[in-house]
Amino acid sequence: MVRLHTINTLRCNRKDVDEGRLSLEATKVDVREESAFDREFLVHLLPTLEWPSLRDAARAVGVTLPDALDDALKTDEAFLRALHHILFDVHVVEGSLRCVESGQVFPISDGRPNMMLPEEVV
Amino acid sequence: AQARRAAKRDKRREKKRRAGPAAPQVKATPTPVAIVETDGVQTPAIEREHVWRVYEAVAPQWHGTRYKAWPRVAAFCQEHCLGGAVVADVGCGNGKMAPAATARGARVLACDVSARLVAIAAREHASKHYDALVADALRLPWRSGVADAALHIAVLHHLSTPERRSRAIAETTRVLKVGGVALFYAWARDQRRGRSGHAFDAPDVLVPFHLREHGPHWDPSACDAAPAHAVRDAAKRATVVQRYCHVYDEGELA
Repeated sequence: MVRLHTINTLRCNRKDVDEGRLSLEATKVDVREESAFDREFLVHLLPTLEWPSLRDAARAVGVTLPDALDDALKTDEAFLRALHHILFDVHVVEGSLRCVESGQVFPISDGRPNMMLPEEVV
Repeated sequence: AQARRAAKRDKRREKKRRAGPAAPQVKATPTPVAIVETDGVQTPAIEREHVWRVYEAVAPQWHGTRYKAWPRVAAFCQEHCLGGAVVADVGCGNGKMAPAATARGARVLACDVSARLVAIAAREHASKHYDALVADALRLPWRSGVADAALHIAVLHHLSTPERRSRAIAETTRVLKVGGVALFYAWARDQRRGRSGHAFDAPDVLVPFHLREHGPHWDPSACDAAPAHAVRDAAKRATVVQRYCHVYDEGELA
């Protein structure tokens, strides 16, 4: 199953795109029990998150995240726990990822994204 | 003793007689292959036919026979795949490295070009922190600098040109953050210290794989995925496919 954190690490790797930001559409989601919370790991992970994409992906699964990740939030225990749950316990089973620049669509089926590109656009 | 030997010989002959006329000779040892120059951008035909299509055909049997992470890979995981690390497993196959890579709490992002192998990896390791997806090692789908460590096990020997190997290495280092560590593992040409004890005849070879039509891993749907070059060995009840491998000289990857 593909977690929202994993989705946040992905980008469209076509040669004709700049950032390759992906927009999530989720038609089937599996929300699992809260996994073990590792505060230090999450704080270490925060700078690597693409926040606008994460916020949009969360919206696609029915969750609202703040517009920006400010310093107050980074020390808010309750917020960090909630963020951990969103990143690691929400699995997209069916859906797709669409490159906002090129329109390239990558399907997610049975929890597995297919990020292969047609030969012409690599 | 002579009588026993004679009985054994007769049994062998009877078995051969029952098997019928000899099937066409199927290459059972690695054979050299010539690499055709390509423009370097598209996936070369030899990789499509003798890597991509082969793994799609053999995935279930491959999975049934590959289940232990190699000692040096396990040691790398012990050191670099710790709790709090994001690890990329490039060319993950059936997810063989998942237990070793996730044992200490690392979060693993895995990919392979074979959709069937990725399906197996995802199914086998559904309860681990291991997200597997379908992607090409030369076009990794991850943003730059997202991984603390990377595994690249038995992938480089399936790339047919120096340029493609460089690109695979470059893509992996792109995905690593500054200071990140990657382990690359590829087949050596000189196997004299290995189990087989020989050296390959040439740097580019086709290595046969017997896809058995029986046994615990037999999946009849594999027939649909058989590559064009596959040859049936009736006597062995197997389809023989040829895996393309480039075997490395010492120092070649440097």
